[in-house]
Amino acid sequence: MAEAPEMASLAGAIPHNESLATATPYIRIRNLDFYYGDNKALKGINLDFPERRVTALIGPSGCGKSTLLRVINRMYSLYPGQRATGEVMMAGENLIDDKVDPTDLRGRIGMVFQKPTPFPMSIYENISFGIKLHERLSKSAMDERVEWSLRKAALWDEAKDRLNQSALGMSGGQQQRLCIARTIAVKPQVLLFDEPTSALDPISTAKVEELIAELRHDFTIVIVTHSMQQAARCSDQTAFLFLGDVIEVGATAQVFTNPREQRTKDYVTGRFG
Amino acid sequence: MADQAPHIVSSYDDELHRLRSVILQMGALCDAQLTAAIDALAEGDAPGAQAVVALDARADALYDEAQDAAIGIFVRHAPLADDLREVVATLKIAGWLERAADHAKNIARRAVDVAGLDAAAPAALVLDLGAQAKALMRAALEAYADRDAVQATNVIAGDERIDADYRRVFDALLAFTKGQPLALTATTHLHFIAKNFERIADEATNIAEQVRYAVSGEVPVPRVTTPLPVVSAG
Repeated sequence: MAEAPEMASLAGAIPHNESLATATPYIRIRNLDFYYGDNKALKGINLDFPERRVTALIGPSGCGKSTLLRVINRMYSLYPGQRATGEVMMAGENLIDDKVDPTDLRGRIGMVFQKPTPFPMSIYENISFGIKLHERLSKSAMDERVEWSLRKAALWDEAKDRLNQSALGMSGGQQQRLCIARTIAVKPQVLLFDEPTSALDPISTAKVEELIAELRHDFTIVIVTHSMQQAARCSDQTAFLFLGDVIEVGATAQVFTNPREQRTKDYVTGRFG
Repeated sequence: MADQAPHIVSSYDDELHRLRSVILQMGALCDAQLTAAIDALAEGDAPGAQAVVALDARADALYDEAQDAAIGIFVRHAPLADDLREVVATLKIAGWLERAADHAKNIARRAVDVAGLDAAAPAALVLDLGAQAKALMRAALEAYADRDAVQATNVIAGDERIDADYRRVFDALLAFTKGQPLALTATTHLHFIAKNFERIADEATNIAEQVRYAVSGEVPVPRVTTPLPVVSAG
């Protein structure tokens, strides 16, 4: 198996069941405000994403979950009138500072979207395309990286005999795993998942969830989901957002069995009016 | 516990209400069985005792109904937070009520056997233990009905007193048997009855712990029980 050495050294360093308390924050968000024009969509967010743990963001539509993901990888900067203030600290840098190069940032923080978005090119090229933006690799090194990425995304066995075929011929679930492979191919430190299984059937959903469980050993992961059960299954930490505020954040087991805040309780039990 | 806002899906509230309703029926049945079993012991009332035994089938049926209701809620609504704790706790409570009904049935069966045997003095002690166990079970059921964690905590504290009284009854039965060896049959039955009352108090405590868990999220910790002293022969 072709394995990127630096990633291999991280694999398994933290046991799957190690408690949240022992993890150090990898991203620290402090006093984060975000505006769509005059509309303040995030209000003084304070939140930590622990290293190599999965954090689930839950909350009703419009609460700011996806907006928060878009701030972390600076996707908002593509749109005029959208701005963020405050701190999103990672490795000593404030990610929303203009001095941080957005292209470099998106190499460090990958994102997977709700709908699979393969490029209209071959499976191989879907992976190699992003790598070429960040690195110059020999043909053999590129082949190894493509294989490593597809293996990491649990797609190698299904894709190895059709690498030169169009990615558009894959099933929805395969396309989503290809997008995950494409994202991890550039070896980011953080993976952002924005409702990654909402368009998938239960089998494909299970495969993506199983993949997230594997990827948590190597990456710091943030997942936005509307499925309480998915959040409960996949994450170590859960944050409940409402109207642009973080209402409650805690260990996932605690949030789903004994939430502290009434609004969290009402939301997870389906009493939200 | 503050009244909860209704669920957006109204059938969820209906199903939770149905589950609670089954448990309240089980509780009322258990209370009636226990009352009748104590009366049967006090008065040697054979038909009353048989009625208690006959009611056990109803308790079993209600237990099955509670189990079906809880499983249905898991399947259809995947409960979380307060709802999850409520359903899990209620499922356990149903099991303990079913066992308490079994204990009442056993007491009633032995009450018939004790009737006519000369053991009035120790029987009075056992009856007093029974009254305490019944009061504790009733308090636990009230805590469940009212979702009252404070009342549940009082029930848990009350179990220690009944454990201590059970030990005193055990000693008294032993002393009585030593003085009147011919009463061995009666005192043996009375000992088993006393043990059943003590177990009913344990079930009441288990129920109270689950009420407290459902209301507050406080997870019950295993209780440490002091074993009875070893009695030497002779």
